[in-house]
This record gives sequence, C-alpha cells and structure tokens, in this order.
Amino acid sequence: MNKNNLASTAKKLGKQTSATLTLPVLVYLILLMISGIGGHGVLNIFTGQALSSILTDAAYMTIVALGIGFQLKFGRFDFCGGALIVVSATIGGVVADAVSGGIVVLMLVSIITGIVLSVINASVYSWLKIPISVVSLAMAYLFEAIPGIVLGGDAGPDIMFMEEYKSLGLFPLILVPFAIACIIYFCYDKFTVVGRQSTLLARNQGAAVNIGINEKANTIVCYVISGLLFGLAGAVYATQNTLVVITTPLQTAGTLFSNIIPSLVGLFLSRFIDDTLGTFVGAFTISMLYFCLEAMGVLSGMRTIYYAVFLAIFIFVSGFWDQIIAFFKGIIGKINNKTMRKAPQS
Amino acid sequence: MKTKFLKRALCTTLACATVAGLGVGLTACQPSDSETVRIVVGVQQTTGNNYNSMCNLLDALKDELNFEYTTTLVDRNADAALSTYQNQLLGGAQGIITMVDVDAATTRKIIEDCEANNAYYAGYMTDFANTFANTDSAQAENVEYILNSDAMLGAVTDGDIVRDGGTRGEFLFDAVVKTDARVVTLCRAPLYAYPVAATAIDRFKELVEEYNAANEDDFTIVESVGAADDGALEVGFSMQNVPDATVQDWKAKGVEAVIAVNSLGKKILTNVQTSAPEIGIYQIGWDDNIISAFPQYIKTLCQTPAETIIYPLIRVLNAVRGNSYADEPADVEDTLISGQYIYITSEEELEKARTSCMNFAEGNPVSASLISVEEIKSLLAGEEGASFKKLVDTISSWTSENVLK
Amino acid sequence: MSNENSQNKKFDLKELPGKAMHKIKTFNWKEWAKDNIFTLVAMGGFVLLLIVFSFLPQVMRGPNVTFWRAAVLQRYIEQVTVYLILALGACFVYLMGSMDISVGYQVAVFATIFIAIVNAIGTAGAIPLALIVIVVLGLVCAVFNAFVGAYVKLPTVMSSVILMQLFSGLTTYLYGDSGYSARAIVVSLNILNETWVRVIVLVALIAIAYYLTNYTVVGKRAKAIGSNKLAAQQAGADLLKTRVLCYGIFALFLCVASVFAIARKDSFGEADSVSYQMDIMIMLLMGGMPLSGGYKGRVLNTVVGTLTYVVLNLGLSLCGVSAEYVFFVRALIFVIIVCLTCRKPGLLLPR
Repeated sequence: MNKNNLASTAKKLGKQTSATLTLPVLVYLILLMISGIGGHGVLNIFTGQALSSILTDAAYMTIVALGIGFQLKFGRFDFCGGALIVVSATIGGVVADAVSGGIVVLMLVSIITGIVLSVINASVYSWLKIPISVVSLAMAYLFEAIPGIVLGGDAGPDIMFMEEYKSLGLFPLILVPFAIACIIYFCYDKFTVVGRQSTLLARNQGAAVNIGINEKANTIVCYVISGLLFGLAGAVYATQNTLVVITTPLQTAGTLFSNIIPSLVGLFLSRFIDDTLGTFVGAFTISMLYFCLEAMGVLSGMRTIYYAVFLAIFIFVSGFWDQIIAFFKGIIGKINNKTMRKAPQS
Repeated sequence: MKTKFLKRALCTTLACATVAGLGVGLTACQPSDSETVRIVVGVQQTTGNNYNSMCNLLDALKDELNFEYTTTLVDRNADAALSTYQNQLLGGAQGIITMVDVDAATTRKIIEDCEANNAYYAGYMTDFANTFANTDSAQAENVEYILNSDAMLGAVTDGDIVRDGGTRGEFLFDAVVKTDARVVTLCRAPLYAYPVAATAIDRFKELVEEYNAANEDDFTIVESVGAADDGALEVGFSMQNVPDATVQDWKAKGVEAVIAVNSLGKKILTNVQTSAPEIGIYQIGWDDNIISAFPQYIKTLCQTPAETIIYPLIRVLNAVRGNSYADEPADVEDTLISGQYIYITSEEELEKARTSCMNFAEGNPVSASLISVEEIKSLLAGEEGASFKKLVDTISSWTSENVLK
Repeated sequence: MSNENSQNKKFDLKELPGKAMHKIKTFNWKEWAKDNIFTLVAMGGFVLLLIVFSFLPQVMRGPNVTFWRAAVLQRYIEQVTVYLILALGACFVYLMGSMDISVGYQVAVFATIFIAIVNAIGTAGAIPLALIVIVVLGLVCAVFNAFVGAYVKLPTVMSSVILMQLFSGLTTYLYGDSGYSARAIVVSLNILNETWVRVIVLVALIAIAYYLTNYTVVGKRAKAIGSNKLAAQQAGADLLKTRVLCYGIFALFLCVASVFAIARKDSFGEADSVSYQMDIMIMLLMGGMPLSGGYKGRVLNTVVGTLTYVVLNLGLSLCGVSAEYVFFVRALIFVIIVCLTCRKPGLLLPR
C-alpha cells in the first residue's frame, strides 16, 4: 500500500512539477534559439540581477492577475480593475506623501481605497442588478474621473522617486504584497466558508441561492477581497510608475487587458496545479519573455508583436488542449498496438 | 401602476441628474464682456511649477491687458487635439496658444479653422521650426500653407534651440568635463518628436573629439544595447523607465555618466539610484519629482522661464485687436523665435534661481517674475517704444548669466 | 345606400392575394414603448441634452455662442462621422454578445497601410487598390476573430486581445520605431470632408446596417446567438459562418472609417485612434445596447449613443466647462444611462 501511495504521490508531484516548469522552460528554449540565430549570444537569466528584475515584474503582474482572476473564477468579468489600481495608487500616494507615512501608510490607504471603490461597484451591481461587465465599465469610467476632480487635474506626487517608497516596487520588498495577495487568493475558496459558497454560486447560481446562500452578501465579500488585491497592486503601481492624469475614457482598461494573460494561464494550469501557482507561472513566463527581448535589443513594437504571437499560440493550445491530448494519445496508442503485434508470442 | 410610476420617476431622475451634472463645473464659467479677448492655452499637464507660474502670471495680467484665458488638456492624440481646439473656437476663443506641437497636417487644419473663425494660433514652448523643417515630403504643402497664413503668429521654443541643439550639447559637455567622469553613454528622445536631439548629439561628439585630440584623459562614448544608428539610446514616450537591464549593462561597461540631450532624467533615475548609484545623470530639463535627487544623482537641470508666455500672448492680443508693430515681420518664419534655458549645475545656482525667477521660487509668485506687469504692457503694439525687436530682445535677455547673477 | 353598404362591409381576410394571410392589427403604442423602453430612455436623454445645449452656451459664454449654428453642426457631423461608422460596424459584433477591443489599433494600421500604398503610387488611382488591400486584411482579422470566438473555450474578447497586442505592436513599429509621429497622404481626400458627403454616407450606412440587422439572415442569427447561443445553434444557425459574416461586415465598416479618419486632416497620427475601442463601447451602452447582445440590440441604440457621446463633448466645451469636469459629467451621465437601461430584474444577480 505504502509503495503504491508513494508511487502515486511521486507521479502526482512529477505531473505538477512538469506542468509548472513546462511553459517557462519551453519559452526560454525558444528565446535561446532566437537569440542564437540572431547572433545575440546566450541569454543568461540566472544572474542575481536578471532574476530579481524578472521576479519584480512577475510579482506585480501576478498581483494584478490574481485580482482579475479572482472575479473570473467566480463567473464575473470585471472591467474595473485598471481604474481601481490607478485611483488607489493616486490617493495612496497623495495621502502617504502628505503625512510622510512611508510604505505602510501607502499600502493601507491604497488597500482601503481599493476596497471602498470595489464595494461601491459591487453595491451598484447587486442593488440595481445590472450585468457586471456593464456596471464595471460605467464605474471604471466614473472612478477615472475622480482624481481629476478631487486633485484639480493633478496626477499626484511621483513617489517612485522618493527613497522611502520606491523600495516597495523593487526586489525583495515587492515580495511582501505579492505574498499577501497569493495567500489571500489561495486560502479564500479552500479554507473559508464564504469562499466555498462563492464557488457554489459560480457553478450553479440557482441551486446555490435555493439552498440558502445569500448571493448579495457573498458578492460584496468577493469584491472586498478583489478590492484588497487591486489596492495592493495600486500601492506597487505607485512605486513603479509615474502617475498621469487620465484624459481618455477607460484608459485604464489597457492595464487590465495587458495583465489578464497570467490569470488565463492560471486558469488553464489549474487542471494540473493550483491556479495561484499557475498565475505566477504565467506572469513569470511573460516577464521573462519581455526581459529577454529587451536584452536582445528588440524594438518595442516588435516586442509587442512577439508577445501577441505567444498569446495566440497559448490561446490555441489551451483552447484545443483536449483535442491535442487525444491526438497524441491516439498516436501513442497506435504505436503501442504496433509494438504489441510485433512482439513474438512465447 | 407601480411600474409606470417607477418609469416616470426614473425619467425625471435622469433629467434632473443631467441638468445637475451639467451644473457641476459650470460655476467657474462667467459670461464675459465683448471687448475681452478670449484665449485658450493648450497644455500637456495642469500641474508643475511651469504651469503654476504661467497661470499666476496670466492671472496677474488678465485685468490689465483685458483678456480671459482657459487651459485645456491636449496630448499627442492629434485627432483629439483638433477636436478640442475646434470646440474651443466654436465656443468663442479668439486665440489659441498651444504647448503641444502636432504634425503639420493637423496644424494646417487648426489654422484653417482659426481663419474661418477670425482667430489666431501661436506656440509656446513648441519647436515649430524644427518640426516643419523635418517633416516628410507629403507634408510640404501643409508646411507651406502654415507659413503663409495670417492666422499663424509664430512660436517661442522651450530652451535656446536657435533652430539647432548645439547649445545643449555644449552645456552638457561643459558640465561633465569639469568632473572626473570620462566613460559616458548617450540617450535621447525620438528624433521625429525632438529633431533638435540629433544636433545636440552631434555637437557633444564634436566636443569630445576636440577634447580627446588635445588631452590625455580621453572620453569614451559607450553604446547601450539597442542603441540607434547615432550611438544614442532612444528612450520613448511610454511610461516605462529605462529598464534595469540597460542600467546593468552600463554598470558592466564602466559607464560613469549618462548624457541625455532631452528631459529624460525621470526615466533614468530610479534604476540608476537602485542598481548603479555611482553613475551621474546629465540631462536637459526639469521635473519637480526629481529635484530631491539633485545634485547627487541628477547633475544638471534647466528650465525655460514661464515668463516666456508673454511672447505668444502679446502676439495674439495684437492680432485680435488689429494692432501691429512698425517692424512687424513679413514672414512667419521670422516669428519662430528661441527661448532661453536657465542652466543649473550646482546647489548655489539653484538657490540663486529661487530668488530670481518664478519657476524656481516657492509658490511661483508673480513678485518673483523676471518682468513686471507694466513692462509687459509696454510691449503691446501701439504702446510707446514698442516693437517686435524689443519683444524678442526681452525674451532673449533671460539667459542664465543674466538671471543668476 | 350602396356606399353605406360598402363602408359597413367587413374586410374579408380570405380575399388577400398570395400565401400570406396577415392579421391586420392596429399599432399598439404602449406595447411598442414597453419593448423599446431602454432605447426611448436613451433617446430622451439625447433630446434633453439638445434642449439644454440650445440655451446654456449663450447663458454661459455670451449671445454669440450658440449651438444651432451651421459651423457648430458642421463640426458636430465631422466629429461624429468616424465614431458612428465604427459603432455601426461594431453593432454586429455586439449583437452576438462579443466585443472587440482592437478597433483603435486596427484603424491605425489600416489607415497607415492605406496611406503607404497611395503614397507609393502617388496618384488617386491607387485609392481603390489601397482600399482592397485593407479590406482583405480586415476580412482576415474577421476570420481569425470568428474562429477563435467559435472554437476556443475562453471569453470571446480574447481573440481581440491578441489582435490588440499585434496591431499595437505594429502601430509602434510603423510610427515610433520608424521615426514618424504622423503620416500624411499625398493624394488629398478632402472631398470626404464635405458635410453633404458625410451626411449621405452616414445615412446610407445606417440604412445598410438597419437592413442587415433586421431583414437579413445574418442579422437575425447574430441576435439569436446573442440571446441564446445554444438555442441558436440547435435551431440551425451556423455559429462560425455567422461570426465570420458579422466580423466581416464590421471589418468593412472599419475600413470605411479608416478612410474617413485619414480624410479629416489628410494624415494619420500614431495616437489618433487608441481610444476608439472604449469609446465605441461607451457609445453603444449609452444608446441602450445590451452588452450581452440579443434581440434588444438595435441600430437605433448605436446611432443615439454615438450622437449623445459626441454632443456631450461639444456642448460642454461650448459652455466653457473645463476638461476635468467634461470627463466627470460624461462619466456621470454614462452611469445614469447604464443604470436606467441595463437593469435585469430577477432573483439572481446577472452574470
């Protein structure tokens, strides 16, 4: 029994490890090939500086992707994430600078702002029963207008240049908000009652409501959590980016769509490994892709095109995964059959 | 019955909310007297000491010179800029002062709209001369139209460009040669947006060659990964800073100074501070957010005095009122003049600037202005002794030497 | 007597020629209003804005600043044109419950390619060739979108995310990386700037869009897919074919919009169209178009939403409202309209 258990555990671990490592390793090998063909030499991402740069970008991307994926997991496509990040970054930066409160105040104010705005979004959604994609669009538009009115056209201070703040956006301190986001995301639907209720609602909304789950209350709790995640992302955003006044409607939607891929990778890899880890794997792969392309001196337009190609391949592979597996299984089966037929009969 | 009432209530709410929403922000709008000249200033940002100084000066001048102004945000989206300016002209604007230099085709369209509305167009901190000189052949007809239009009143540049960037290159060389740094790397903004950068880079390289020929401690110009053909790293408009990988590369190559011929200090600073604090950043321009890094990391600062706004302002007021100077230039090209940078390379110079120029003074008060309201009024056409030459000479006199003495 | 008899004689339905034995009903305004309540609310909002802007600019800026002037209406039509053409095309995509967030970058790349071809040849004769090239490219994108949307088990927006990244990269490559901020066209398209040309084209395109959505199989199937994809499929709608047709129609409208975007100033800039995708979404929602598509979506929603969006911008500028407040007021009105038109009453929260 023990041997069987060990064997199955080892098999499971092997499957999980290969699922975790396959995507980044495959992308790295392809980049090595491109680099070799282009005469750029060997891309060494295993130096301390390279890894810290990649991990810094991956950590931020993961936090944002977890915020987006959190709602996607429970069946809601929310456009508000980008606006929440930018607005919480602006307000967090303004308050932290005004009271000289440092990183702690920055994070606290950003988180509170993210939660408040997210709860407003959820309240409008659950009170007026407007489809979430629509209400989140409308609320994102409104939230983007807030800094312009409240700060009189000011984008807020660029705290990324201030010694006491910028360390939050750099390795290793960025791992703190990253760890907080991962723990919350991981624990929510596995270890909390409200999380399991959210899962039930996502799988069968009608039945879940019929058995007595308070959908509105559950939605508000979900949005508190996603607001917290976006608030964390906002705090990091403020320490890595210069803040600009938003002049175009839904300008922040770009932030959302740029960071959605790791959450989709996480959702795809969730059939092998935990989706939190899967999201990080996706973010790490994309950060590594960008780092290597920059190191090769690829122009920014071409970098985006390479990224689009990666995206297209990933979406096709993930979309037709079952068919691909069935195809390879069929081939393996045919090979096995041929081998068995050829084996001499004793 | 209940549904009907709800629908009626909702429609009424919509109506009231629309009117209320329109009411928000209209409190600042005042009907104005027909003699007052209406001016729109198109800006890229509504914060910063340059913007604050400009607004403080205009507020001090508006009653005296009988004009009113509004600022409107304009960015690189030329289509949106065109719509914004069109709407302002329809709203009664008689003069547009733009801080945003769009392409020749869009500028032509704006000028055509100005002509149709008896309005005028002038540039502030824009480099029309270089933009028009460097456009592709398809834009030639547009440039010709602009330079022959009565609605085009000229522009004053940001900094002492004088249709080339030689002065920038010289300033940066003079600043770095005084130090021990001899291994340098070059950075610039995209040439299509800042053609002056090419001249600045060439001038810097010329000075390096001359120095190396005459001295033993040679300069070495190191090329960054991904550098353009001129050997300079092109740093784009995106919000992304110069990546850490690039700074690591500089460190590995022993770079001691980064020479940025545009306002790029902000984009280089963070990763240099973190990964290679020994590298000095020599750059053109000013940003409120990087002052704390001067002079430890950022070694040079410069800024055009906001008082330069008087050039396009006076040009517009003269044109709207139908007044002209005796020496009014016949060609539009002669109205494209150069501003002056105030160059700062030390804390002493910064302290002097804080007492002598609005941009640098705390709170940007008008009392720190380089020119008084009366002096500005005396520059208007029709005033005794006023001339175009006097106006240009006033702007040209605001050099570092004069301001920081 | 015979007249009275003929007047009193009841109309015999069996006397109607042909197969169709239509029941003649009197038009029921109440039912029609109930079915179209959201469109009516959106239209009401637009009319209200026109009424408000009829007097507010004069009150705020003086008697010379009126909304109802030829110059203002000309500019209004100029600013509405590209948006309305794009919105009409996007209507077909949104009716299916999909969305496209690559619109802006597609317009940028198509416009650039159009300019490059015309400039390379240098004569007006190059225009049809340039148009054909961008139409072919648009149809390729349409097939891609349709294929991904039909077969990949991800939100339908993902295909447009890929195209957004691809075209964004291409735009950066064609402009920033190549050293251009804008590209001018050597052959003037000024004829398209005439107000009467714009009006005729817009009316024609509205009529075409209206006909396609209401009287053709593709329109009806698009609405059916938006209402209930599974039911539509089981009723015989070919999902892939309908998607290809809808995205293809969108691509055609997009190409026309690109040409008008170039014509506005005989050039096209890198950043000119980056916000189009979100603007289109806002316009459609402002007009009462449900984001999930279906039978409640109408071309009228598109037209009303676009007109409202642009009139807000223009009207508030005429009133002298500063940029921050224009943004805020537009956002507020958008929120209100959405709250009024997109409600889904029921026990469960809509997803």
